[in-house]
Amino acid sequence: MEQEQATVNLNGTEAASEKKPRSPRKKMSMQQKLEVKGFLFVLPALIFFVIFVLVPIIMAIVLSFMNYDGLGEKVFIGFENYVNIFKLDTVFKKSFLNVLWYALFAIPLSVVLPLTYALLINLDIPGKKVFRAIYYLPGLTSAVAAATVFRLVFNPDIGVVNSFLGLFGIKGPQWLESSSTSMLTIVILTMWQGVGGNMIIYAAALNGISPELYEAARIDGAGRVKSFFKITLPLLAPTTFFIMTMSIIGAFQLYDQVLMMTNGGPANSTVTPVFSIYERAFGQNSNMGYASAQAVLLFILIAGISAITQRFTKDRAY
Amino acid sequence: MKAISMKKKELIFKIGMITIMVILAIIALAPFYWSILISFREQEFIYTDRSWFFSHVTFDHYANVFKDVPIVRYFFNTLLLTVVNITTNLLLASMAAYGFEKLPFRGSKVIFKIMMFSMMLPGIATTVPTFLLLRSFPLVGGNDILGQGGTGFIGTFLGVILPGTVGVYGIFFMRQFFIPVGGDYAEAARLDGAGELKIFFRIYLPMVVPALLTLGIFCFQGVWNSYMWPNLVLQGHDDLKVLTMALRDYSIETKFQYGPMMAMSVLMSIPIIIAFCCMQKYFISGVQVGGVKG
Repeated sequence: MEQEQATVNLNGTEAASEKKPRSPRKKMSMQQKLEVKGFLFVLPALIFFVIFVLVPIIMAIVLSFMNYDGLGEKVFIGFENYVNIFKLDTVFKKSFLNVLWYALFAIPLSVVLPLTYALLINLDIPGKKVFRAIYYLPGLTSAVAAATVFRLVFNPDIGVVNSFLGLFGIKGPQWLESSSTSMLTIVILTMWQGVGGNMIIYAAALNGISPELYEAARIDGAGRVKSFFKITLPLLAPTTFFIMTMSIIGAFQLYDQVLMMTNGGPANSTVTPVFSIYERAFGQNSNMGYASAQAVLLFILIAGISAITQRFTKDRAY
Repeated sequence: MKAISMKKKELIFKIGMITIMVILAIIALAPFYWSILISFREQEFIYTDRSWFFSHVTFDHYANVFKDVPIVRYFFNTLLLTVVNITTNLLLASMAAYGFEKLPFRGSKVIFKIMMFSMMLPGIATTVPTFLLLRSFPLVGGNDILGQGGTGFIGTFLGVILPGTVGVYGIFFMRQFFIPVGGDYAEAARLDGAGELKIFFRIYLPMVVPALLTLGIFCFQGVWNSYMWPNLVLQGHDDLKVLTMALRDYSIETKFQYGPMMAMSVLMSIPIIIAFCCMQKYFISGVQVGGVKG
């Protein structure tokens, strides 16, 4: 009983129940009490949100107009950071070109592969749950551990990839050590890790398609292939746009994989925007103001991409 | 006759598909196999013996990992951070979701919209300011009231924990599970004089346990595997390392020698694979939370 009283008090009210026939005025105050309680339920999350999301956003914008090495004085310099990014920052610009190069492979692959996997595990085949678990397994390990393993997988001499190519008498490329293939290895790593998750999203979307549609198509004489292109693919469009958007946005933010596999090299060929921002903020020659300006620009770009693709993904399942 | 040939066709189709699925499974597992293979190979044979099968087997790399790295300690560090993160996220996210959905108040819609909008924010946009904020937090870690003089929360577990206390995607996710639950139970309980916290913990929360497990797994994966933020906050404090940091540091220490590096990667992957085997269902549905996050 006492405990109950305590919980009520925690919610900032003295008494929870009133005598039954309530006057309209009393009813209002009951409603108000519930509103106060609602606010109190949200409050803890709201406090953390304000301190660790809203305040940092404002700080990032303010910092982006400053020169600050993290220790000394903050100096207001207007738009200088932004001007310098556009005029001088070849590495940051390169990082966006790298993402473009990455996206060229990653976007088609991040749709085709998971969709294929999803179609396969949706077949009526014994042991499909085991296959689903196996396909999802690579996504479990941390990016750091996976990247560590992939240093070995793509080792030109003792890696599994070149060993396999060697079976056919092909001399595999240098992979991580060559600036033309380094980004490709990161694409393969993120595909290997990401295919399971996207497969599950696709499989759920596939299950959401009414079987009657296929039945109707079959009666109309459409085969497996035709009903795939005429029914499945169009109905999966929202999911596809969603996965594409996520893989582009993810590409800008690759960090762990790059750090562990190539440290941005060779010749900056695997530097991503986030890798570049992090290095600028916390690496040698730190300038947190400059890094914040880079981060603000990245945010604007990502918000733009999200806004464009939002139109297509509005009615997606998730 | 026709029925039989249809059946035969179906069978051939299925065998073909299973073959493809097995090949894909081999691709998924090959890197694991390769890392285990190398982790058990004697150092001097890693480059000379190119065998695809176990040969020159040794346990030295594993022994060295346990000798050189306090890996058990780092395991418990990681576990602690993960447990705290899961607890706070489940509690605060479900509470907020309940407040937003079942006890709407003036301005709750606007607050919710702002929160949802912030999901678009790339993590790096808040990394620098959050770091500065934690470093100059007043009256902690040797700081004075103005946040000067000390290191604040940097170099402490709290510095890792605090920014991740409650994720916005968790609130959104939990809210979706409160929507279909009617308000009748709460009405009845309120008339019986139950406090709102009691209604929440005794009536509503038990109804969304699967959602809580799903969100819990999602948080687990996120924290257990994270590197950038814990490394930023904890670097230089050897006692406080998490596993991902330890792997990176050990790789640098051993000059990226494959034997020890693979042994440690394999060791690190074991707990999460065990967790996956036990709670596969929730891992699979945890993907949905990631979908929500976008």
